[in-house]
Amino acid sequence: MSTLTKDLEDNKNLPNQEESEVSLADSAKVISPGRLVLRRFFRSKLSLIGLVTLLFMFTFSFIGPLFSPYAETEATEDYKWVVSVLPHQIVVDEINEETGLEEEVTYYFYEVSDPYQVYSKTLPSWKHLLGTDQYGYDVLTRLMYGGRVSLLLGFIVIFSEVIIGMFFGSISGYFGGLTDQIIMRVVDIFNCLPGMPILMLAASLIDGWGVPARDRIYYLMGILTIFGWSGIARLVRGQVLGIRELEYMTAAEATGLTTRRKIFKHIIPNVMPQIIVQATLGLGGIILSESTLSYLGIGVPFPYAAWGTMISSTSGAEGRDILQNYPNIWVPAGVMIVMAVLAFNFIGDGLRDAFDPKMRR
Amino acid sequence: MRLSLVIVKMIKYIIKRLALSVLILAGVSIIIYSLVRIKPGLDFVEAKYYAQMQLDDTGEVKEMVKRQQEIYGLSSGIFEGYLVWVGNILDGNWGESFIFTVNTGEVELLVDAEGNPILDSTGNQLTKPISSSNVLDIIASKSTISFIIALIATILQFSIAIPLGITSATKQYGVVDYSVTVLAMMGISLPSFFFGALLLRIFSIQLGWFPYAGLTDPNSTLPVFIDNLHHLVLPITVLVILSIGGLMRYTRTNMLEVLNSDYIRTARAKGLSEHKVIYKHAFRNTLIPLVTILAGILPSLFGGAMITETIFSIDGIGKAAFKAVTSGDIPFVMAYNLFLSLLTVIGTLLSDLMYAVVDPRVKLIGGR
Repeated sequence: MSTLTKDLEDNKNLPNQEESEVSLADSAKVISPGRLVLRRFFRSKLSLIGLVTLLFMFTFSFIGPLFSPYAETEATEDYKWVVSVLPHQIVVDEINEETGLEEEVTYYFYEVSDPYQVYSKTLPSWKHLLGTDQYGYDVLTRLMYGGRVSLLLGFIVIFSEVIIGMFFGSISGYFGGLTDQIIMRVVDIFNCLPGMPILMLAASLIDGWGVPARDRIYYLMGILTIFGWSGIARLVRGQVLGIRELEYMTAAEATGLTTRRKIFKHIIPNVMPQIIVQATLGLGGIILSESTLSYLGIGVPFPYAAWGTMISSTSGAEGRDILQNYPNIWVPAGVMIVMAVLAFNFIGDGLRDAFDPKMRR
Repeated sequence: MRLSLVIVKMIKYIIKRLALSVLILAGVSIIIYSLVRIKPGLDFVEAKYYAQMQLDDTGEVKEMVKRQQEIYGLSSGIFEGYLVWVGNILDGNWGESFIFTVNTGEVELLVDAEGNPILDSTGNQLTKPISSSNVLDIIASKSTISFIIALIATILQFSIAIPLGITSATKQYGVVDYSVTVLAMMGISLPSFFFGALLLRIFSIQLGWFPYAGLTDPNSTLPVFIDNLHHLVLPITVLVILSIGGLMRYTRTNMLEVLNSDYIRTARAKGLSEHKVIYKHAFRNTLIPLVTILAGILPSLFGGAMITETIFSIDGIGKAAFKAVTSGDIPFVMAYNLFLSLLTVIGTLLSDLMYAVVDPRVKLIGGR
């Protein structure tokens, strides 16, 4: 019965609606908020550049290795057998048999090592488009695998950070009082920790745990997450505090929804835009941290490829030589890092402007 | 009457913030200490002296290891150990570095076995400089050069970033705005180790304009001061370029917000010149949020730049921290982390107080 009357009413309203639609059709079009955001996002050239760069990086790192004739840790055939010769010299007091006097005699001898392979660093050629590094690995292939590590690690870390930050932030903002006090003081503590030094301390401790090189990256992710979630928690808490006071939350309260439903169905979706922006901008930061740790030799371990490690070859034993004569070994990795971080920053910025209703222009 | 009330409020606020800072520092120290303690197996002192302990017949090394373990509470459980360590820190005993020593500037008067002073040929008593490996002494001595570099970099950073931010805000979406934004973003996205290596490659190796490493060059004909500055050009460039973007964008956002406010419209409506509107009415109000930047400056002023100092071989506190991490000098690393956290806490406190002083609208009571 009730549905019938409703239908009737709807029918009654229909002509009216059609009329208004026809009259407005030329001047206005109804677009969903999501499409509006997308449209505003794509209007900005910078965010478009960021998106294209990112797509390129993903293709390069994840599909590229399938077409590469070399493996991540496959050395070229181009090496020399080398022996190292270490000269020694000792001075001994000896009695000269002819004169019978004691005199100083110098002996020279040479310590010759077993032969070992030395790979020659090469400049770009058709066989190796970006040359080979000091271990005989193909630089281009290493670059692709390094991208896999950086991008994958970045996404996993930021995802975990968002989960943890969202959980604590929303609880803190929603319940307030003592819960809020405790959680926010913990967030304060994490905010006051020095960024890089504490990461270095933690990362250097992984060695003490006797972690095999293959698993090291998981520990690295854990460390980056633990010392990174506090910013998102603070952001979510601030947003939730504001949303809690809005009228629709009073309505939710009145309909008797459970707390969990209120938080996850009604509050979190409204915080999502800010979280997405923060996460995108944070991704760049995580990639920077990871590559810095790898550069310092406490990140992704050798023989696995990482952009940071490739640049760190400029500071090793052959550092000066590589820095001066083989820019093909370290410059591409740096360019990749800058491109990745820049892309995330552009996209994050574009998203922020697109989500912000005040920025409408 | 009213003034005294304000002062009482202010004092109450400061006390509350101080208590909070102490709480935060306690939390920070717990995290640092547990990070060091959760490592299984040998503790860091034993690990450092392991080989020497095996060779030791006299028991001297064992004695020394025991003494060192006492400082960090390593011989007891993690909880008691923490209390011991914190107690020592509050006493000013922050531990001794494994790898660094500095001259304290004081000298020890040399005496012979009978206690008579040893004299040199001119009759002066011979002295021996006292060296110390106390981490606080090392932090104090190494942070001087880091501070000088950071100070110059910060001044440059502010004097470039703020005008750029303002220009970019007043010409929003113009060519200037876009190019400044893109350049700033590139600065933010550059890893310091890559940018440093690039600058070295181009300006030091290729062009030979600037020295390769260090702070002085014995072969240089320049006066010492100029020579030092010459060495510092590249590292300071790295620091400035990397940090300029954040500040510039911050200024731009604030300026845009102020320019959209009603009183700016009023000022324009009054018929003031655009120059006056921007530099007299808008700019002064953008300075208020800039005060919060103070919190971030303090650690970077005294804490050194780890990567940059390492790349350019500048013997500051950042390079020391890097060396300490790579060679397992945990006492120094712990002290360095604690020192930086202390600076951050003080910086936050200062910027909150400054905020209250600069902006009369900020209420001290309730909320942060």
